[in-house]
Amino acid sequence: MKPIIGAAVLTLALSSNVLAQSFQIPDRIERLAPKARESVNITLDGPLLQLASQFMGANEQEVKQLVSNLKAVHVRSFEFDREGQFSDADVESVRIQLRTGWSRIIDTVEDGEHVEIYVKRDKEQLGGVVILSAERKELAIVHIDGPIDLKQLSLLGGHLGIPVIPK
Amino acid sequence: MRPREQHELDEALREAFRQVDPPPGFADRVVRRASRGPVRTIGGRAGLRWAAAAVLVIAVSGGLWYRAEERRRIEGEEARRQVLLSLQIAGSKLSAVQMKINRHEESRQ
Repeated sequence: MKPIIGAAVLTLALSSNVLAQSFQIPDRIERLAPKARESVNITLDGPLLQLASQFMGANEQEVKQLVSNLKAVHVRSFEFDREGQFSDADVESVRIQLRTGWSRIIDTVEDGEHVEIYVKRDKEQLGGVVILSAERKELAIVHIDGPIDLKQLSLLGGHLGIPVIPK
Repeated sequence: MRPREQHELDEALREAFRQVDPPPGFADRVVRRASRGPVRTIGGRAGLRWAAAAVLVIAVSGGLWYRAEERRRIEGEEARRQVLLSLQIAGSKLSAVQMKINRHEESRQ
C-alpha cells in the first residue's frame, strides 16, 4: 500500500510542478482588447509553427530553425488612446503565474516603462521565455514556449530588430 | 469487244449472280439472333459511361486536392506572418531592455 501512496504523491508533485510551469494568458488580459486602439492577438501552437516554418523563405532559415523547436508562441499587445486603461491587477495576474517554476532575469523600470523577462529552465537549456512590458499606454505579453537559447536569439540579432543578447 | 468475248462475260456474270437457296435453318438462326438484342462491345455506350465517370472522379478529386492545398498555403503564409510579427514584438522589447542596460552600465562607468 505504501509504495502506491508514494507513487501517487510523486505523480501529484510532478504534475503540479508541470502545471505550475505552464503559462496561459489570463482572461482579464484578453478582456482588454475592446478598450485598445490597436491590439495584436497571436496564438500559434506546435502544428501551426511547423506549418509556418515550411513557408519561411531562403533568407529566413535562422528563424525557421528557431521556430522548429518551439511548442507554442502567444502574443498579446495592446495600444491604448489614453492612460489608465489597464490596472496593476491586470499585470499582476500575469506575474502570479510566473512565481513558480520561472525565474525573473530582467526587471527594468524607466520613464513609466516596466519590462520584465522571465525564463523557465528545462534541463540544461531555457524551456521558455515570457516578456512582460507595461507602459503608460501600452501593454505587451510575449510567451515563447519551448527550448530557446539566447545564442539562437543572438543569431537573429541582425534580423527583425532582435538584438544580440549580452552574455 | 468481240462477240465471243462478250458471250463469255455474260456467262460468267450469269453464273456469279445465280440464285442460290440459303442453307437449311438459316432463317430460324437469323430470327433467334435478332431476338437476343444488340451485341455488346467494350467500346460501346457502357465504356463511354465508365470513361465519363472516371473523368468526373479525377476532376472532383483534383479540385478538392487543389482547394486543400490552397487553404494550407494561405494558413501557412498567415502563420509565417504571425511568427515574424511575434519575433518582431519580442525583439523590440528585448532591444529596449538592452539599450536601458547599456545606458545604465555606461552611467556607472
